[in-house]
Amino acid sequence: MENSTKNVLIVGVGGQGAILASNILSEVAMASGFDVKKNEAHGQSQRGGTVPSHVRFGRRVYSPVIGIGEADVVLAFEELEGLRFSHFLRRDGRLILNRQRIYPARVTSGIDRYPEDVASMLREDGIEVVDVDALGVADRLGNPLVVSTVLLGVLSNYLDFSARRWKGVIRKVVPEKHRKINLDAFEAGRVLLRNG
Amino acid sequence: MRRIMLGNEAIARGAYEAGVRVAVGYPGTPSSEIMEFLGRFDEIYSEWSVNEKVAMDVAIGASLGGVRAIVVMKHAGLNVASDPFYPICFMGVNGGLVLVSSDDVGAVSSPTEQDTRIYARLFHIPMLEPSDSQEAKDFTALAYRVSERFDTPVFLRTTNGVSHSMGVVRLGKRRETRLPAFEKTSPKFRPQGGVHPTVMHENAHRRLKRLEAFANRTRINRIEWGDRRVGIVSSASPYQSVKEILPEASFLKLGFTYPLPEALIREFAAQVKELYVVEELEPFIEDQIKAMGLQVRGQDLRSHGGPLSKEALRDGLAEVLRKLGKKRVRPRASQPGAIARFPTLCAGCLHLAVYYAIRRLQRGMKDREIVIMGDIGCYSLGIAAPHNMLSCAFAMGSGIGAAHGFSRAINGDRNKAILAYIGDSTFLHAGMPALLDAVYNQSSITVVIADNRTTAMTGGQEHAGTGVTLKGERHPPVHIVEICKALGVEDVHEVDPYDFERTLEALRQAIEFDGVSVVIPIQACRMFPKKLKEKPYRVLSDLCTGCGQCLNLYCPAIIVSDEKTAKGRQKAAIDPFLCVGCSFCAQICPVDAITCE
Repeated sequence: MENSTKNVLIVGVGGQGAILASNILSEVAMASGFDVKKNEAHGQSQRGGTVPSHVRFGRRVYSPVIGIGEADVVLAFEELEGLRFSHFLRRDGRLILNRQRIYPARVTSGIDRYPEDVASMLREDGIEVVDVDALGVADRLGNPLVVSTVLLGVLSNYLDFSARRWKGVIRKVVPEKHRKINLDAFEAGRVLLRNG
Repeated sequence: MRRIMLGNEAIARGAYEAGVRVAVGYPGTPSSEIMEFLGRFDEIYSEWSVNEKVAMDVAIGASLGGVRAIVVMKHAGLNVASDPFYPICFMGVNGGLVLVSSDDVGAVSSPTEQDTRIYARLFHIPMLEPSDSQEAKDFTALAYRVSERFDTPVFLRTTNGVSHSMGVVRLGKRRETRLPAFEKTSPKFRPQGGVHPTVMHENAHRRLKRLEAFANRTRINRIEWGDRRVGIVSSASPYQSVKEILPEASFLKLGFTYPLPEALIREFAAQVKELYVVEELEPFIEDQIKAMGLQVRGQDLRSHGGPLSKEALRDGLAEVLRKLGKKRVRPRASQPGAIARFPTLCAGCLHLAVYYAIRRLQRGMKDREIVIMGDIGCYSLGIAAPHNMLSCAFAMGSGIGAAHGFSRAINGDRNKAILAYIGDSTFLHAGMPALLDAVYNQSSITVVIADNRTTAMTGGQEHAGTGVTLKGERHPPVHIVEICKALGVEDVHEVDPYDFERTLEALRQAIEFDGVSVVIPIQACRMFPKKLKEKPYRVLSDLCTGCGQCLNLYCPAIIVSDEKTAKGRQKAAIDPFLCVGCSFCAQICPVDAITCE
């Protein structure tokens, strides 16, 4: 029973859109007939803190929380957060890493050093890392805020939901004036790896 | 219809479907969203009350008035509300009355971690504990039926694991119930003159007996038979975690957790080889089962602090897992390079400016030490490094009383200047009586009421000083400066904290004043209710001497640049995305190297 549940951990820094992305994924899973549970951090995480959002779906889901070593996919909006949550991955899990850095206060004030090359560090540990420059893609589309939809496009390649289902939910969730750019962002993310 | 709902939204929905007409509360993590969702229903009168005690009074009045009412708060708020709640628990209700209190397990945003389940026992009232969003909705509706049938307030208790989790919920229709008429001559709400308190106490115990019989037969307490070698009693979110780890065990799933269903527990215990309780925080269920004379394990296998994670459960139940033939997969280790990312005061936050001014003032008065009694709000982040500003923070509004007491304790010691630091919402919540107390009793303290025009810490809720209600209506706001004057404060300074010199001077004068003085720095929160951002400032690299003065502000927008001065000192830089253009850093730069031109 434990194994039939899919676990996607979406992590980022407050304001990056990780929560919205996890909402869209949850809706896609529910529309596909699954039971869905989700857990997220509220309160202080809004003030520059870490934002982990757990999404779980399957025939019947009990706990809303993904345990250490249970995530099928960790979708990291930021490098340091990818590093922080990498041990949540299953042995055969996959880390999607957005190559974007947001410096914590302890780095800007000189107490800590931001880690050098997160993707290589994790690969050396035997983790399958898919690294993408989603912010670059979002910038090219004309709005850096759609980075989260680009990342959902990348994620969609690793989950068994049709592109139609994803786009249907995006259409429903995103306000009309941002709809087209988000659909384009999703598509750009979806084909990002295919084009190298 | 099915929808994915936050536990807190599901509670609001449950109240709506149960025909609730009055909703009151005070914001506090993890309960705040319940009131925000309730505020969206036109059929429900809802308000942010000034504090939890007042919220409770309002809800009780609504119940006496014959409607179903809900009152919402966090664990610390229940301490505040307990004063009027205790008597009404003995007296009973008229319209259904449900108290929702959410425990911040893990103290994500609280000075304490507290298990309010023990209150159910103290109050002598039934307690329901949902374990996911669907139950959150269903149990809320059930709570009203229990309340009216047994003539009692009902306690609905949640934790972060339910409040801030989402799950699929099936929606129902709103049903307005026929409400009992309130008789103004009813003796039950009039102690001494009506029913005597000792009789009320007896009645409460008789009611508990009837509630226990109900607990034994309600469907929300149920046995799920599995392998009878292991029997697990659990409730709330710990049930979900243990059910997932050990689906093959036998379960007694409790939704109605006070009074406990003794007969059902005995029936379950008799048919399993070993009995375990899986619960978070205090051994609330476990102790009661032990008092029944049954052998049970639980407390010895877990810690009391923090949420019960699946990892902790697997460790605690390792022996059980082995017995049932379950193998443990060893997960990867966490990465040592993942440095911490603590929550911080936001760029341009008024507290950064006031804290900086206080530090600067301290540097200039070597003969006197400034001691600050803190309070509960965003500024509590100032307890931690690098700020190290506040010496304490324990309950809403308590900093002012503590400052007064501390000043009496050091009786006339002029080597110390005693400050209390409080926010606008907290001042209105419980700071006013404390300020009155300090003034009337001739204290000599300085109170800083940092007014950011919102209840920022919990997500920007409205309060009596904002001029906006929970429903979005505009009402005349109260003015904190006028309140202070009316309470008898003779030395009041209103300042713009972005004006460094004026703020510094106001603080200096206030500290020198013999008596109670108040400094009110007013500057709207940059985050709530809407994001405020002006043109960002930048560092003129040629002029920057790398003195580090601006870095001492600890504004997250000010960072160390890669560029160095001739003397090898690192220059400062400003992150244009984070900077909100408050100008404060430009005012404190000794060489005028910061500009927005």
